[in-house]
Amino acid sequence: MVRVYLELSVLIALANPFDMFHSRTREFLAVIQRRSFEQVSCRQAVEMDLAIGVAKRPLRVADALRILEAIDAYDIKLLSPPSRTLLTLVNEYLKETSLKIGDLLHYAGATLLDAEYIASWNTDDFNKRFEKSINKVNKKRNLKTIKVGTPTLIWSGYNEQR
Amino acid sequence: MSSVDTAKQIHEDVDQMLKGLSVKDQEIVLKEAHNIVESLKRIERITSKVKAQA
Repeated sequence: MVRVYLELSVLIALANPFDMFHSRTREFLAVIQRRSFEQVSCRQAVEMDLAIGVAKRPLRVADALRILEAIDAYDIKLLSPPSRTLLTLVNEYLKETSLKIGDLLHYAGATLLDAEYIASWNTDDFNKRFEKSINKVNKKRNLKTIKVGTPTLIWSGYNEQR
Repeated sequence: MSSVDTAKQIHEDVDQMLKGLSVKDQEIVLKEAHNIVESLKRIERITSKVKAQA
């Protein structure tokens, strides 16, 4: 089964019907569910995002609860790799990239959860350039390499491979 | 604010929060974040129940 990791921007878009990526996110999930892909995200990364999002204001409590509801409603599995391993990998990535720890928690989560793809609408921080830096560390540590892209790119790339 | 801008802002805030901490302290912060989310869920359950009964 192909495992697709959903990063925070995708979860926020899914939970907000007024977001510009909402419809495309729903379409993406509908398509990958029909193909029996497994949709996952890292529990620690998502919980950190929601807690800090509420504490620092970009999110209201109602937004955080809506995101959790969407995760349940769309059957997205929140999985927990060991926190120590997750954070150790994040700190390894920090030596290779200029990415923020918030982004790296998702990259490390996707890697440790054996995801094939990491889907994000944030193309500034989730793109081919950073995929290369992340995979350099992953190869060095004998971890699974991952492919990074928007839901649209991931879906078209998957179809081209077949 | 779009989903992308919100996510970027949150990840920057997470960075500020965790940067410079030891892995052990970062682990404690993740655990506290878990507790915050669990509390939010509990508050939602209680308020929904009370509202439904009203």
